Amino acid sequence: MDVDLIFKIAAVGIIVAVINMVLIRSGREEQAMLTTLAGVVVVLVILIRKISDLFDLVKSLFNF
Amino acid sequence: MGPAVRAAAIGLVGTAMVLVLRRNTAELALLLVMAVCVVIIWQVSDALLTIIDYVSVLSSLSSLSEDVLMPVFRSVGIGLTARIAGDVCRDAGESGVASFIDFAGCVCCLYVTLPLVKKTVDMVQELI
Repeated sequence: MDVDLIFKIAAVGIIVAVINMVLIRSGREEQAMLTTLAGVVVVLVILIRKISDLFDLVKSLFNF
Repeated sequence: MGPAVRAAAIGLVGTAMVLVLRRNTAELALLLVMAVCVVIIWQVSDALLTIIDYVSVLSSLSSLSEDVLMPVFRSVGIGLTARIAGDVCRDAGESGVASFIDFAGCVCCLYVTLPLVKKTVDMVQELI
């Protein structure tokens, strides 16, 4: 498992936070919320595979 | 020593990033916490595998059967999974969900070790 995963998620988070701030300042709260939602979905798609890999590892390690 | 230092470094860097993210997007900060947990455990998985293999060798030397050793391994696995998931939920402020995960982990541990308890009870009955 690569450390790049952490940096990738942090980068997505920072980009989403910046877009969020800009949209809120310009009075588009709904779009800001949708941007946050999109960011969460993108990160979840990346992360869920890794979490599944982790659970598979735990299963194989502890003979489930 | 390598994996421990790497895990510590990943933990520190990850925590700094989580602090940055938590201010504006708390949801993504939680996901980042999960990613840090996954990566840290992945770093020590090789060492864990070696330890478990050696414990298996030790058990074969002491002529312990697989039925006795398997519940121990399984309950360690369940405990690890439940602890990680519960702590992540607790970090996100959902201590209620964390308690339920802990409870589910306890129930599963009891279920897994039930054959061992049955064996012990049978042995005691034979002795009596």
